Amino acid sequence: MIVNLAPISEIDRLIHEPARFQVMALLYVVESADFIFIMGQLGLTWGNLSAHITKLEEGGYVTVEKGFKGKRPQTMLSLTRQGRKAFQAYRQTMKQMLDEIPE
Amino acid sequence: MSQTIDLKALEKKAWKSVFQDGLWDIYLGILLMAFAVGAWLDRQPISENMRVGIYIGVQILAMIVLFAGKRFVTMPRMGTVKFGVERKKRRHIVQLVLFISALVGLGVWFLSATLSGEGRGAMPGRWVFPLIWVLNMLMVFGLGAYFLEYERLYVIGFLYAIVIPLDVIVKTTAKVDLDMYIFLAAGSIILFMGIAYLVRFVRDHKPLNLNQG
Repeated sequence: MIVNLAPISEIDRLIHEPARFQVMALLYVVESADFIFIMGQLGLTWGNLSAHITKLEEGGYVTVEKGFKGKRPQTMLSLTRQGRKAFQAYRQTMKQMLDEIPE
Repeated sequence: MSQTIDLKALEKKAWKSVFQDGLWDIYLGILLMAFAVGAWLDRQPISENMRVGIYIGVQILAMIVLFAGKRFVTMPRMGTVKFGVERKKRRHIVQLVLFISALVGLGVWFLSATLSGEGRGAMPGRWVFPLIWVLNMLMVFGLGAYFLEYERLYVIGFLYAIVIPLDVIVKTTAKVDLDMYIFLAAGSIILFMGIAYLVRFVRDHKPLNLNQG
């Protein structure tokens, strides 16, 4: 059986990295969340998360809003429309590709 | 593997984390204990205004504990999250149920307060108020637990539901007035359950320095 692996070249590498995928997935299912919430949910360190968020922000997938809650600084993150579409497309591609691989 | 991630489970885990801190349990426990304070105040030689003032004060204290706890204990440890449309819809349903329940409660209270003498005699037996109370509590907490996926509310709802009929049963059978202790015991169970969750939450979640962002 010949397996068509052409879609693998279409995989969004920005999302494909496991930590970034987790961040995208979490932000996909909520409206927005701050750094601390994402760190706690995904078990990522501040530095690690910060680096991934920078990449996702540069890719136009995530918006970062810095503000204050009382006197405390708060960084809220949410997916952009482009990020949401990219995540949906990534899921679709992955699903299609994995479905084509025989047992 | 990232590709096998279950998005529904991920959202549910995020949602359920909101109730990990036990603060809602503590709030509801104090509210039920306010009934005990009310029952105790009824036995004190103080003015009606003072009685109402203290009773409302305890309820405000419960609210302060909830909001201050969320602000100073939960947020620095767990952060903030806003959920999507589906969760908002479910929250609105619970708010509607609470509103209807409050209306029912007010209606019953108004009826029992305004009917006196012959009018009160026209009201059906002594079990009507406890029965309405039980149904109201089971409906509110049951629907709340279901729509908010906050399972401890089933236990809390059960404890809220049994206090009034238990009080009536004790008064009827043993001819003693233990209302204060019944409210106190039920409220304490909920309060300690909340404290246990809070202690575990504080132990497992260290506050993070927000200035790093």
